[in-house]
Amino acid sequence: MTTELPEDLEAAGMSGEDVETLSLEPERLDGHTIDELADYLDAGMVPADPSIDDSPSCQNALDALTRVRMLSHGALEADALDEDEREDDWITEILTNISLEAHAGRDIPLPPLRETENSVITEGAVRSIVRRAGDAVDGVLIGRCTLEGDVTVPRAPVSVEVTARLLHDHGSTSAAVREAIAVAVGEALRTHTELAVTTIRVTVRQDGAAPVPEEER
Amino acid sequence: MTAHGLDDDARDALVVDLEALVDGLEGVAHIYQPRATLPALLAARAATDGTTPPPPPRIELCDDATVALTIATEADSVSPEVAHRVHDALLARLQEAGVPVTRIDVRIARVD
Repeated sequence: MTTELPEDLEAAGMSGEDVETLSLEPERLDGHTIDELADYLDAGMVPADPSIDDSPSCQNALDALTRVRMLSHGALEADALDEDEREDDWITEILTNISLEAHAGRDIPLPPLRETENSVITEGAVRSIVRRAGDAVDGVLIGRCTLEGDVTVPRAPVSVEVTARLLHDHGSTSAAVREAIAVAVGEALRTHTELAVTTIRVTVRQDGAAPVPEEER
Repeated sequence: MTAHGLDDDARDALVVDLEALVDGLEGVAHIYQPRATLPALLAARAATDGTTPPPPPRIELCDDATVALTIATEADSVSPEVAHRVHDALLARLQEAGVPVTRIDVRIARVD
């Protein structure tokens, strides 16, 4: 499948296939890899790159990447020294998930108030909201977030699955951490979407530990 | 023949007006270019021939009387309310300008 291009792009020797390739490669965010975004962050986001600054997918990924760096700086330092392969593994896994989840994904309808209104929020934006809400819980970094169910159908039941990493022991029980994440995620989803969320399932992992059993609410 | 009946200059002026309107609405953090990959390709082209193309309009006023835009909302806003606000503001301004509208597509791609 190719894309019909404006004349000036065709004149520049670009084909519709070029655009499809840049847009749809699963490991790319509007033509950028997560590594390129990390480099952009390292450079202080200068010089400004409009293809990143004006891409919501890239901005969602940069947001998450910034929080990973802030919250896991100790682990990243260990990674740089190659002292702890286990930490390297889970950080790499989180970065991969950020890259996959930041894509726009499905359009989630927002019920209209007028017949001319057709408003949606993208799945990528919603996953970003979930990730941000979870990351705000003390000592927690969200590893993965998925929305299960047909989110494109208004009021269809949706289940939210969240995997989180406990970065340090702050005295709370695992159940309390799961509850805090579920509450934060639920509140964020109620504020920014009209999804009919039936369950928020949170799995918490500690460094090197097996997953703490899931809790449903 | 277009549904809105505007020539290119009038349409461009109206779109600039609409962009300013939406930019000023409470809860709207940003209006994105409709297709994120194309500006990058255009910029790449500009780098080789020394010219910089004008940025494409951020609000698409389509020939079939539909309007489309992609926005980011503020984190402390309520996103569905922002979408309604954007729709209502655009509809009112377009009706004031005598431009027929059959549908306004507001896409929230990010909560800032």
